[in-house]
Amino acid sequence: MGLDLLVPKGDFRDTGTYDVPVPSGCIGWYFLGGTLAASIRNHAPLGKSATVAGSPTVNDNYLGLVSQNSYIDTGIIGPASGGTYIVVGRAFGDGTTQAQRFSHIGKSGGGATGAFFQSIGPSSVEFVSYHNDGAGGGRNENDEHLNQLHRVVLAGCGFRQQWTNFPQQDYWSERHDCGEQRCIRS
Amino acid sequence: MAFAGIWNRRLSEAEIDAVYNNVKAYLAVGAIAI
Repeated sequence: MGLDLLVPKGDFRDTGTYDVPVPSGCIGWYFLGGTLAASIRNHAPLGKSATVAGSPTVNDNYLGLVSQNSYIDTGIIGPASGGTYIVVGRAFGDGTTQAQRFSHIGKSGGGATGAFFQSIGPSSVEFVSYHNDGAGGGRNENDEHLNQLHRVVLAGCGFRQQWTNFPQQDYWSERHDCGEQRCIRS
Repeated sequence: MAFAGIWNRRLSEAEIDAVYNNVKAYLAVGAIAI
């Protein structure tokens, strides 16, 4: 006696499902931009969609997010044992203001902890990490073109609390220990 | 289109490159802003 399983034919691309190249341990995989619905879709295996807080502005190629006002809440609990966070995109504008930062995750305010990547002028970008004692460690990447494609990798981070949203700041509310924080131009 | 991803483990260099190259091929030329 056998058991037949019938799977309806269909084009999985129509569902927006993406073939994640490194699925092992992947808990969040998002393409930001286009539509809000597409932006909050989590393509990670078994991943749940993010939820929207406030009113992010949707652009063809990115989302406009504002800390504590308009952001996407991934609902992902940061792994205490360490994880990896990767952002790929292009910086633009003068990132000296928060509204123009490429990526910012972490805890703001007193005892700020986290990292951000921003453009600081017409030809420079800056990657800055900071720690729960408020001491920052900046790293300048000079003579880069803002329109270059960048990737930002935070690896080996132990996130003790819920990692509630990104790429805008907010919040793992306790300290983290990042073994590696770097940006790479391409 | 821009990309952000999270893993619950530390990826190897080869895995990071695999992610980046995959995403780079997929992304349209664009920008990410907050």
